[in-house]
Amino acid sequence: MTKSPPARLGLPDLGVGLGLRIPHYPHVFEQKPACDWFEIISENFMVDGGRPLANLERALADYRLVQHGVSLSLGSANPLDWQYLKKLKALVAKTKTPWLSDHLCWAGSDCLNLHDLLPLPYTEETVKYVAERARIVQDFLEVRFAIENVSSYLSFTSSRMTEWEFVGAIAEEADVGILLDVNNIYVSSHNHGFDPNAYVDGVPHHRVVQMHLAGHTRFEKYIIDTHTGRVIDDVWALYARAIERCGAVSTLIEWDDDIPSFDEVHAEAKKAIAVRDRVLGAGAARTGAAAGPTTERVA
Amino acid sequence: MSAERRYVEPRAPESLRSVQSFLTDAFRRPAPVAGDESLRASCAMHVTSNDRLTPAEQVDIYRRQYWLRHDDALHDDFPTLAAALGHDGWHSLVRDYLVAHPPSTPSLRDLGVNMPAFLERWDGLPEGLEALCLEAARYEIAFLDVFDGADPPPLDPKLVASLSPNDWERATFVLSPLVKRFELQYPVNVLRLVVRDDASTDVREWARQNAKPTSLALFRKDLVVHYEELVPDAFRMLDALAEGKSLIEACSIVAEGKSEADATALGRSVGDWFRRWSSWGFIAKIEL
Repeated sequence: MTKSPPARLGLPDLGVGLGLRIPHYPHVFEQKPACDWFEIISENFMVDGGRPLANLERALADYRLVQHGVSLSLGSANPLDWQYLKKLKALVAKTKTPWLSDHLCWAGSDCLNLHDLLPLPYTEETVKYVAERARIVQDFLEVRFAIENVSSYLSFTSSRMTEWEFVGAIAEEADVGILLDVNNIYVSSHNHGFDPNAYVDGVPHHRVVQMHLAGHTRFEKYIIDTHTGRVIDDVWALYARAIERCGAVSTLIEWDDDIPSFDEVHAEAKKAIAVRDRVLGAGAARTGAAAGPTTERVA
Repeated sequence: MSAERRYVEPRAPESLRSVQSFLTDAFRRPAPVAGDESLRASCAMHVTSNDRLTPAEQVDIYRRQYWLRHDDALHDDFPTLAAALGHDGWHSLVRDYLVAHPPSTPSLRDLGVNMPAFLERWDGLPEGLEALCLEAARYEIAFLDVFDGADPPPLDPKLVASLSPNDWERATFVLSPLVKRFELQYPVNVLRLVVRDDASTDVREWARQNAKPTSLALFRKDLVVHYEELVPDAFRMLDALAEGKSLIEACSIVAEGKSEADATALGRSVGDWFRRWSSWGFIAKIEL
């Protein structure tokens, strides 16, 4: 009899968290609102000193933090940036993040970094190349690494598989986790004309260690993943489907442009909790949250 | 063994290298992709069309974002310079700067590091405001360094307490890397606050009314970046200390040519300056 792989690769379900953003610092640090966990952008704290590191210490004192990066450029033809990776590892030691994620993308070539999350061609040779790099990153950082699907606005003539096959193949070959960005699936499905449900059904569910939810901006001919505004109903429906298939998975609300009050962003987290409770039953939600000493607190 | 040597990195497939190289170039073009026939054709080789967008239009989404993102990042770092240049001048600068210094590190924090040197040879500075723009750029890049630079190790209080008056006279001082000194023609430190409150400030008029030689120290205390305008003697004193002169030597340099009364007054001021500078963390190390 074969043993089924553990959900979330054995990582805890932390519940529903929020991206820790500067406009909310006064509220978070002074009021200490209840929040299951916060996600931090690693690069914002990969500095030598000053206020960013002091704010990190304050957040760590009260909350469970999970690192999420935007600049690894995992799929770039450039060599891995070891200076960056060493700084990242030092931050991991500080935050004790239970896992660390970055995007399945490239950010530039020819020694440039365009600070974008650029899509890759979905080919076997790209799978092999990126998977090997993901394996090196995870081994070096000594923490579970997860790749996030990006939203995209172009597709390659050279692609030979679907995006979800591509994501799944790299995660399997590298033995890394997946950060499933449900909004990105929706955005890309609109831009490229695929079925978002097939995407959610098609990824290896036991490798999904985290999910992202966010708003986006619809233009006449395409949608851009702007992380602004509330999560739309279609994305909530897709999230419910993802939770149904993956089980209780740590979920994060991203809101990065025109950021409203903490309470307004937190209201989206409460909606996510309600979706999880509806799909899985109230008892199933936040089963792993007890792993964090700071899950619930009195303000 | 270094981390790099512990791992054998895979070689990027040639097809991947080639498409990334092509797109990296296309995304950095200042003009829309659709306007360049050969670029349009190359886009069609690499990018599929769909029922709404041509390959060139898809590439152009990323191209526009490249310019917007880096324009915003530079504007965040150089608000005073941006106000001095005005809308059109600023966008011209960003275009020329990013062509000369495309982003090459993972952090946007590094994007403007070459700006002061670039401005020295850029021919688009508004006539009459050249010095102000150069000073603003130098001040604003220093501001970033002071904001998130590493704290030097704290001074050992036992060492400080154990110093005899004689030790103090012959000691030399290493200034904190979080202290930056400026001699300016314009108080751009003040202008930075003015444009923060009102980005539409008429900088030319402001410069006309406020030009004055300004000696300045920019530093961080309790996580906050501060500036302190220094009287000329205090600035010279700080300069001398930064050059490795002892306290006695620095005092002699500043007192040179002064009357006895002025030299006595200077002696009293030095004590005040030194106490303040010490409390603000200007002194990183005392060497005997």
